[in-house]
Amino acid sequence: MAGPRRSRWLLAGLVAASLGAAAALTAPELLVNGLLLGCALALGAVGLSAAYGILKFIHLAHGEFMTLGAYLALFFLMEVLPALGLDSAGLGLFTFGYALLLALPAAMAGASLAAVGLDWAVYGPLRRRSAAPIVMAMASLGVAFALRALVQMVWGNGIHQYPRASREFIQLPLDIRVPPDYLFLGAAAGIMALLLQVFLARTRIGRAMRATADNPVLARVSGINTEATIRWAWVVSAFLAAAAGVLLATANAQLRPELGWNLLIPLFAAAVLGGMGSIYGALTGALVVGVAMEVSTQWLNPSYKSAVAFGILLLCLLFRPGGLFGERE
Amino acid sequence: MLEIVNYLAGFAILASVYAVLALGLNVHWGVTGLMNIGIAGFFALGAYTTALLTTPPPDPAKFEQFVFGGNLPGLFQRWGVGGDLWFLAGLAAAALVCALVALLIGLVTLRLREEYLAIVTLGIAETIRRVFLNESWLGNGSRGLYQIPKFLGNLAAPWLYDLLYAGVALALLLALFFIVERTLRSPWGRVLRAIREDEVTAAASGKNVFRFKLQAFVLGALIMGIGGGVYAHGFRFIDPFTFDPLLATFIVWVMLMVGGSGKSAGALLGALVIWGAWSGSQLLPGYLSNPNLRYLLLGVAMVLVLLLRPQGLLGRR
Amino acid sequence: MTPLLEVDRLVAGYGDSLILQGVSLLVWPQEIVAIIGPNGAGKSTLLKAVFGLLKTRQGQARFQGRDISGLPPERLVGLGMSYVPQSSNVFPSMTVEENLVMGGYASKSNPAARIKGMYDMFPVLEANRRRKAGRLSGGQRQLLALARALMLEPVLLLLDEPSTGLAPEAVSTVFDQVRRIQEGGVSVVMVEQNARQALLLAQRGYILSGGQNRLDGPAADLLHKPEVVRLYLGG
Repeated sequence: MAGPRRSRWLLAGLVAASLGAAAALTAPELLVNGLLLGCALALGAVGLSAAYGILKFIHLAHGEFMTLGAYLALFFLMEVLPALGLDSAGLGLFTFGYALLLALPAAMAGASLAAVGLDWAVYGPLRRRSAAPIVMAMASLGVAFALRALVQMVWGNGIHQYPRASREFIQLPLDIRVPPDYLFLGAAAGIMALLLQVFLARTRIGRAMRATADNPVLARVSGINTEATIRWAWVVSAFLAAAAGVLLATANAQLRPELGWNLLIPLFAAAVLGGMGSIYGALTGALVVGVAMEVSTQWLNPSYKSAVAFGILLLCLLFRPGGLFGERE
Repeated sequence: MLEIVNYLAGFAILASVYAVLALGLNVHWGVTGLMNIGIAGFFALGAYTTALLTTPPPDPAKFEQFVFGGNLPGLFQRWGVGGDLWFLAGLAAAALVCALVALLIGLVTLRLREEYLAIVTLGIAETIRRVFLNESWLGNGSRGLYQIPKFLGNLAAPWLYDLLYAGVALALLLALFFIVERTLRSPWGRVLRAIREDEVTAAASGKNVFRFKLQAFVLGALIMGIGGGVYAHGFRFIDPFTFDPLLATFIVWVMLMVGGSGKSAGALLGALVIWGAWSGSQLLPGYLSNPNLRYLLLGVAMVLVLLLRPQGLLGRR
Repeated sequence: MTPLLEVDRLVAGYGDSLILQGVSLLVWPQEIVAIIGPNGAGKSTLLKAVFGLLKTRQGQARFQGRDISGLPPERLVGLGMSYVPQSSNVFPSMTVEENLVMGGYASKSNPAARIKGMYDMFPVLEANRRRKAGRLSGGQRQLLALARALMLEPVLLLLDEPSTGLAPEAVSTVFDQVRRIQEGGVSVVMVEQNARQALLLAQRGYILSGGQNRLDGPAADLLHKPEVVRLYLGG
């Protein structure tokens, strides 16, 4: 009984180990940066996969939740928080200030609100009409373009930046240089993943979400209110996506309206690699995709990063369509 | 007066191109239920294929970076083939390349969960765009190809070419429309509809669902490739930015959904209505012509159609 | 004495096809009722319709005298009714213990004591408490499904074909447990393919066919009616 399971982990381990070894030999710096960026990807992919697990459709506007979160943080950083007199830049090692620590949760809350609103206005009515999953996906594509247009109407089509102070890169052993904000990104993502784990394993709502993803009919039969659970799934999914958006905008030192849309393929690659619907799978998948994308820049034009993620997605669909950890199709 | 004529001709060319794309999407989604959100990929492949085959070889004096220009019109002249038949050869090549790519994508994804086709087509469109952007040797990078020859250019004065070509585009559109309609009314088309209605029953009655889906996917992609070819010779300039997800994929979806998914006539009507609204709103005063506002309305239109009138203008429930 | 459950000429189905065409059913406190009949008779549909998983078109269901037609499952569990679906009746990626916790979801109180009670009743579950439910054997899974449904201390348990896919020994284990559940004061409505064994276990039986009542009566009588034996008991 442990056979297929062990072989699955063995395979995953082998893939990760060989990727890691190749990366460590050729470009240790890219490996470290890739892992840290993979953390941000992981926050996005986990939300995407969780939404799929509970709602059973691919949410194509997930990237726009990232974008929306990042721009909401910009709004708080530029318009709201300066009034409080908080340092906006240069906290310790980092380029950002205390203000970001407030803007981050505020942006996450804002994006969650938007997600619940969208469920009320768009996805909920479609669901009650028992629209096919693929129709729901179509609607989410419309939502994606509308959200992006809204962001561009408010903040313009150009590039923005959070307030930042200039900081030295951090020197690690093996001559690895890491931008300090990347370390913050990794730590913040790690903390959020931990909180998510506690939420899913220990809280009433978290358990209800897992149960609904596992067996929707039995969840209803057990007295779980599916609609409430779905609303919570949106909250969590948008929460994590917004966090990923803010952290990426901080780490990349720039913010564009295409931020989320351009990450959609890497996010799906991570989620499919981990098995659509699986939360822990998505975490691992994101790290693999993140490393592969960064390390590929050793040989490829960085503009191909998302193409590298797409390549991983294709390989996965060819050889293990259920994902590394999921059941076979 | 001439300006107005040329504006209308340009409108007719683009509306025809969009109608061809929507016709292809109708074969995918409307008839077979395949969610292709990478229309831009096939559109680009078709356009670049015929453009590269017919464009003159690169001129080092102009610092052109691409290495291959097929110069089909010159070759056809040398072979003594007149009547600008190279145009049809270019379109056929465009269709062929798209069909091959669709075949590969279909083989990988059409056996899997239906969502995977959506993700993969999205990825392929983005990848194709990046390849043409980065690989300057292939398509002259961001400067694009700007010497795409005119079809029947000798027949009309330069300032009347757009009008002439609008006629060509419309004629091609109508030809495709009738071919697609005939195909969809054939027994083959009826099987596709049966699959869309109830895949399990279709499979149980001995139909190889995978093969039918694959054929439909290839057919739709081939039509989209022809649309790309028609575009290339109409505007004689293409670059990677022409094929962005909004104006090359999403708007086509809105056209089909608004017009009435499942009906070729719906695809045509939707293309006319949406492209009319889109280009007409460019002329509106003040903020009303803001492109972002129009993007927003396009997204909202998509959602509203799905919520309020899933059958579109022409469809029935 | 009022009946625990009273189903009166219930009409229900999927889309345009009405599978139940006016089925009636009575369940008294602390009895086992077996529902048998050929495939497509509407046995499972009856349980789903009673438990609010299907819209009812006509007719009525009353639980402890109260009209429950149209109530969703999340309301019914609070009233003292519980339902075990035929297949996929556990949460496969959650542990045995988490499955039990989910069974007690509708109650705000701490489920620990109740879980302890379930472990006393089903020691095999305690031995596997940290195991994922998807990795249990078929028989163990069925016991877990029963235990999950008992977490809220229902007075009525609806069981949809508990013997499906089980080895004969596992079937008798499950049926023994159903009897113990009844002895604990719970009424059980059990839909079964395994008609003879189900009637041996039950006090009363209903035979459905074509979405309508055919026969009902004390289980022992049904077991010996020649037409029942010939048509529904295979011999």
